[in-house]
Amino acid sequence: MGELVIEALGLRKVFRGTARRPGFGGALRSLVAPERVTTVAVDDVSFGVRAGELLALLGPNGAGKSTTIKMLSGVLVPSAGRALVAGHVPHLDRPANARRIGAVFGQRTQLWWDLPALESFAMLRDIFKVEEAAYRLRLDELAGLLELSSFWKQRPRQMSLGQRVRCDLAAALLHDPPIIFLDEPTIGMDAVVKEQVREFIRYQTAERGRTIILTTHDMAEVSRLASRVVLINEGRVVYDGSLADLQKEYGSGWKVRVTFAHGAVPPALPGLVGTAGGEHLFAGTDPAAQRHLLRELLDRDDVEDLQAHGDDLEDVMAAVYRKRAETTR
Amino acid sequence: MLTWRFITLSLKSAIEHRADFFFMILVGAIWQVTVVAFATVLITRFPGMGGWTPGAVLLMTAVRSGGHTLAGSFFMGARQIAELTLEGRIDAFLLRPMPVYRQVMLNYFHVPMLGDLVVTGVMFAIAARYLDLDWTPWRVVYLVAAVLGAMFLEAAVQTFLGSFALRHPTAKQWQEWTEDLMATFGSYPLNILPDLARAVFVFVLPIAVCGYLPVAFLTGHTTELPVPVWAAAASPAIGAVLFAAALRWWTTRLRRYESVGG
Ligand SMILES: Nc1ncnc2c1ncn2[C@@H]1O[C@H](COP(=O)(O)OP(=O)(O)O)[C@@H](O)[C@H]1O
Ligand SMILES: [Mg+2]
Repeated sequence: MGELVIEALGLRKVFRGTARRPGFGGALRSLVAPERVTTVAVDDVSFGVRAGELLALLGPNGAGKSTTIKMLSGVLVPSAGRALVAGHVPHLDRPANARRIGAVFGQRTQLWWDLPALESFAMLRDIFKVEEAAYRLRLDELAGLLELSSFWKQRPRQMSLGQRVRCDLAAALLHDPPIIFLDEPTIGMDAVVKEQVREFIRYQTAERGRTIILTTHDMAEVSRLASRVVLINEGRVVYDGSLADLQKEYGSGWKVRVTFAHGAVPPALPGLVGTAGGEHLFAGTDPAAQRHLLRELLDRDDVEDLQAHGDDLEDVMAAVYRKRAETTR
Repeated sequence: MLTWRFITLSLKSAIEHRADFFFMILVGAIWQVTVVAFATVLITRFPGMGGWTPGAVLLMTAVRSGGHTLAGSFFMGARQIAELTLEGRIDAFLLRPMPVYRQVMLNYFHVPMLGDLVVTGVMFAIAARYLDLDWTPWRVVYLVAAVLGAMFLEAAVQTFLGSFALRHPTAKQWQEWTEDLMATFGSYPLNILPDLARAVFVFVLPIAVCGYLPVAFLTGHTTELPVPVWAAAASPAIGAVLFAAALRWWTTRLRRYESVGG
């Protein structure tokens, strides 16, 4: 594995605001004696990402994912702790940092709302001082991968969500950054576009070697793209490791239900836990064992019906939060 | 040049909304015509204001209007910091290799300012005709400095207040209020005001810097000034100094930028 290119070292972010009291009297009192409210959005988050790795940052709403990404990308200055991107503190030299990273926040656009996307791209080319020849090549490639050319003359205002986010992805990569932050890039997309964007993200790590941090609520996406996940809850890391280990440690395991043809002699296969109503139930925790079993079963012609249940990642996550909550109490 | 790219961009997106574009220019023009008409009435009907000759009053209006027009062209973004923050645009600015302040200022080019520039020129011409002044090169240079000083003063005030809008969107109301105040009191010789109000506009919200003091110095109306003559003469520099201070304030506020949640 490559060297560490993104490091979160005890990151913490506390937001300080003033609470609004309801009503006119409340407004007056807030003016005279504002009530300070502090939100600990990120309490203590540490992890590292190696070059070429795709890390999925997961957690329930309000866990502190976006705030963590904003500190790592240099948008926010941490209240404590340190962010290091390619060995540099992002907010100290923003121009240099901007050239190293690309970022897409799924709910916001960095394109000019009233300009055709193509013109926004040209603006970014000039802002990032990308050579014309390199720009043409990259834009061609990105347009091909994301199928932009049918709508890139439109303004983001008129685009569908999927079109807009695809333009945003292209915009974030025009200056060819080795590091990318994606905060819920596929939120609200329909299945077809989602698949296209996922393939795009996969290509960017697997083929182009970019280092990516991705947040998402879509577990299918996680299992498809990420080998490593960091789970945060209430501003703290509750799990950092491989997806397979997470499933092994917290999953309830896999199950396979098989109905054999009438009169068939059921084979002696590992993992059999019981029979009920003509149905054979196999179960286990090792996903490799499940795959092996399924191959065996599919090769037989006396199997009439077969249902395989994997570990539902949503359930796994819920189990993690439950367990951690128990141990910290 | 990148700055020019941004300005043409703003113009382009303004022209895209064609109806708005021409409407804005029209409104700007009508507004300016009323200003000029009013100034003309001032000159022809009244013998002067607070001991000032009509030409001097008009010159002061022109300096302030020139500074305001330039501030509106290059620093209008300062008045949109609240919206830029709420829309998450500041986040995007922070992720580009270009100073955030420049991006904010270049974000919006106020189209009616094009018309204002012409009207300001007309006002200067009328004022010059009424004034019995020998326009030596150094007086011209001083006048240009006075206009720039007026621009920097307005930019400084709006940048200072706008910095608060990074975290408190309601600061926008203060910005608008101050803008109105400066427009209302910036165009008249301040010696028509009571001493206390005059002191406020010299030392607290130094509107005097953007017209009253430099034009008083330039036209020799120096007997009733609340400050020494040399200070009045140096007033264009004060705008620049305050602007530099406002920029530093902006930088410290930007470090404490909190973005928006969600
Ligand atoms: N700019 C902000 N000002 C105040 N509170 C914020 C801000 N951004 C986020 N928060 C709060 O911090 C917590 C974490 O938010 P966030 O990082 O957006 O979580 P996530 O992305 O995991 O949903 C939430 O309680 C949220 O309301
Ligand atoms: Mg979020």
